Amino acid sequence: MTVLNRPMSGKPADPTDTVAVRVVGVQKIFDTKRGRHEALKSIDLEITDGEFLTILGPSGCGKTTLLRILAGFETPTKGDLLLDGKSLTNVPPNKRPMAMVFQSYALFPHMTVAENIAYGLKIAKISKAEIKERTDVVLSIMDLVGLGDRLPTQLSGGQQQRVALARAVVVRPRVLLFDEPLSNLDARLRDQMRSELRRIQRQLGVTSVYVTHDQSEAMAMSDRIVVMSEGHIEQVGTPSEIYRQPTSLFVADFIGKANVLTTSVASQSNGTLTLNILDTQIQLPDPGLSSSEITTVLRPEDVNVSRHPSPNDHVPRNESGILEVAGWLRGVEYLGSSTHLTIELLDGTLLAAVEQHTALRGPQDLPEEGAGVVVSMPIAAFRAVSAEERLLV
Amino acid sequence: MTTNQHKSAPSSPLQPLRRLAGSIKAQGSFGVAIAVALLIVGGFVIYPTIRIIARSLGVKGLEQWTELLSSGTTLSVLRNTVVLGVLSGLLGTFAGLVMALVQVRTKFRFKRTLHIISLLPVISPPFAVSMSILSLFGRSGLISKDLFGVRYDISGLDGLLLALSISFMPVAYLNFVGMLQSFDGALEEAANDLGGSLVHRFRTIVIPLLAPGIANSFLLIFVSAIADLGNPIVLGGSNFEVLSTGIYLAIVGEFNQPKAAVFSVMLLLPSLLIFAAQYFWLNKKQYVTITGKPVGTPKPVEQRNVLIPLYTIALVITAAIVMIYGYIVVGAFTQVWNIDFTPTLENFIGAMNGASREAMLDTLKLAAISTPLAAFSGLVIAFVITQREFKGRGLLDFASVLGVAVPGIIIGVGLLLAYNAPLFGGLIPKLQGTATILVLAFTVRALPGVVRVAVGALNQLSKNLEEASISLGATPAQTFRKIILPLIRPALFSSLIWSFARSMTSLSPIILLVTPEWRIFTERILNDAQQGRYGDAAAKSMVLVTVILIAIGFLSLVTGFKVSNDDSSFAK
Ligand SMILES: Nc1ncnc2c1ncn2[C@@H]1O[C@H](COP(=O)(O)OP(=O)(O)OP(=O)(O)O)[C@@H](O)[C@H]1O
Ligand SMILES: [Mg+2]
Repeated sequence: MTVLNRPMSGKPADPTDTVAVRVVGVQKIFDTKRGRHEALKSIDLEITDGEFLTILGPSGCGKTTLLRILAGFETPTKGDLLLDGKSLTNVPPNKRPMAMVFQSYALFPHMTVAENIAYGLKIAKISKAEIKERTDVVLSIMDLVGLGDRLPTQLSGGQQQRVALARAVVVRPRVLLFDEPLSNLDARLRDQMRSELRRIQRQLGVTSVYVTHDQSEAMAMSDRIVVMSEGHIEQVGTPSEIYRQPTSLFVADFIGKANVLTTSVASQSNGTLTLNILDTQIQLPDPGLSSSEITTVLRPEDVNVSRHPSPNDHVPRNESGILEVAGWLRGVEYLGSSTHLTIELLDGTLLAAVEQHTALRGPQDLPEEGAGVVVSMPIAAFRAVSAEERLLV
Repeated sequence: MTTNQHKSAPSSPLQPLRRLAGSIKAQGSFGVAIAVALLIVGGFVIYPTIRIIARSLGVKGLEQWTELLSSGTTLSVLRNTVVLGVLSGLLGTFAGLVMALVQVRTKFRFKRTLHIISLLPVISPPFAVSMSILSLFGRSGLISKDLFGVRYDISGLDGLLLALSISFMPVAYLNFVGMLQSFDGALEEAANDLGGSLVHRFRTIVIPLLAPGIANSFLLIFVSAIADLGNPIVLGGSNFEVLSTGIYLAIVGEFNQPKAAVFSVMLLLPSLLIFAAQYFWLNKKQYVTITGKPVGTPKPVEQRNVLIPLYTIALVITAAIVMIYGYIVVGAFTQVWNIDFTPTLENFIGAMNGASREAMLDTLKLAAISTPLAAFSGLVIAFVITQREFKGRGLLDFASVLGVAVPGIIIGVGLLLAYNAPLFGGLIPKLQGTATILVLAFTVRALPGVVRVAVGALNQLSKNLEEASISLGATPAQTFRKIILPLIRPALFSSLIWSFARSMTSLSPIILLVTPEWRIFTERILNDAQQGRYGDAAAKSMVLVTVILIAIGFLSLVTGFKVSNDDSSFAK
């Protein structure tokens, strides 16, 4: 195994520089008893050196398959992988400078913590003294000092998790691969490990590919997120790009909450879309979608609600960048820091809104359930997306 | 789903073989191991079986078919075989279930003793039970004649039923112990909370959950019972012939190989059918359930109306086992069994000297070769079956356990037919009469058990462990050595023991293959028994069991392992 002689405390993640891994047209077909299943359709992806890249998507979308192809445990049916420009096609998994952290941790039960961590180094025939030194360093980084002689069964879930990570980073892999490593931990520990893991990754500067189906994990940890669905990539971007500028209904809906508004295209010219929406018209920058499949999405926190005595008399208005429509408040759900509101517009459309609370503006300042309301929404908050993908729950 | 299929038309009949060879090559260092495994199974299980079938369909074979199928004797042989199989299956399963229930679900004080008694038949030579039964209940039996003064002769169906149910009871026992222990107690508690009575609970929860185990045990005992040879030879008497004895007599008495082949096919058919049914339906479900840790332990049964019948039946079974085995010891240490009870060591002196000593040494030598061979190839096959994807994997899996389904006597006949002349223009010499063929018979016989044990152990290893090792830079071979092997060592140890005990005690596969140069100990015991020298036979049986126990002790000293409490590995 190529153990890269990179200093352990490396450079900070700098997602602007070179490409570490290039995935080119990777397709994976599984031959099963019930026929052929195309788990990956044709994946193209560039993983930047030192970045923390998350692959996010619902269960069964092919995340693990993609990760296992990177590791070499599965062979792609088609396509190629390049690591620092060199093809990995004929490189067996044990010769790839990648280390994987498994959901089940996969600690060797017959070895102590120290032996587990030293395993990869022994295989690489590193000298005893260096093994000792590197193991000690990793034990202290991972906050495992004093646990070296324990067996994995004598550790808590969080400790086992850290040993699994230690065992992977100690060989100084070029790329670290994670398959839902936190999903076996309880919620509190998960949050703690999340920032721990990110800290260590930053400290080591190692390129990391992290698979999860938990969107908040992805948002919190990643430099970039790859959203996958049914074997293909929906969108790649930074967490805020993915949240604020989803390109498809699927992404908008999978990441956070979104109001989906039925729209028809009135005109499309010079990069501007004019859309018929809620009995009025708005103009949005054209993301370059073909007209037949456009829907508009709006985040609940961009919907402002205020009382209105007679919503039936209200005429929808589009003035100074704000769209105003009237309706009735149908649901109020108080959650402490915020309240979730459900509004039924006059045309029957249901709209979700979130009101954040502060000491000065609490739930008592909101209209009561059943009240007439008017909602105002900044036009800039609307986002036209491709409606091609069906909504998944 | 759009996929471009690359289908290549099979250009020659050799195409599948070539593809198989290709996929073996792609496996690298494991390819060789796979090839060896395929060779053992193909050459010494499948090929001999095919030779038998071919022989039975030859001109003389077809004559035999018409002749045998129209004769009343054959029909009664067939009927005897089926009746014996079905009744032994029922009785053995029932006895095993009762013993397992007492073991797992009660607070019985001497469980450990009971466990050992229940497993006693596993290591006894195949027909020692029959000799003892004959001496106790035969025409001039100790109990039947001397105690009750009846002229009852147990030989025939009655005796065989008793002998076979006791001999194969451990199969069912271990099966049920495993199942009952892995029961989710929570399920039963839930039923209890819903107000079900104990009997109701048993009928609605326990029995349906045990149903696969009952079916499995019954079928296993059925197959083992119809394949058994030693007991029918000793206990069958002149008027209770079964297929296995028919085959044996056809070869050694009538020198009629076509007849043996036809009988073999008759015996093979039900065995293979049942095996296939089990392989494809029953076994599938089991691996899934075994792995999970039980969520709650079921409460011991305390109701007297259940305990009393349960204990009574268990007591009867235990008494029978103790009496039958105890009487072997009596026979071994007395002058003439049943007649002259003067204590003596003569039988043992005979058993440990002369021809008997030769036979023991020969058997040990052969088993010393076949045991590691079976353990190693079984391990490799199991590894390949569980860890590797390659074409022909399913076939290897099926074939490696096929050895269980093929009755021992048929393996013997098959090896005899297949290797009685040089093959491939002398490339493979005539094996008949050599030690090689005996070693091979031992090996293929022990192989399925080893494969089963190892597959079970490997299935409990998460595939991620192997992948974690590889991802840290270890080659597959290093991973096997450093991760997999240490983790399955206990299983490996059980399989070594299993394969050794199996080799030392097996009779039917080798009885047709022994030669004056290579004597087998069990065959010597049978010889004594056939000539009425029961004292000698009993002493030899005890020597055999002692040697096995010493060897197990020695093995555990060498490998540093204890024989585990739950020897579920011995099942089957
Ligand atoms: N070895 C295999 N044989 C056949 N089909 C497979 C195999 N591995 C995965 N698949 C199928 O490929 C698809 C993608 O599986 P994958 O494990 O990559 O999903 P995932 O995105 O990781 O899901 P999860 O979040 O549930 O782990 C699934 O439909 C799965 O059933
Ligand atoms: Mg997955």
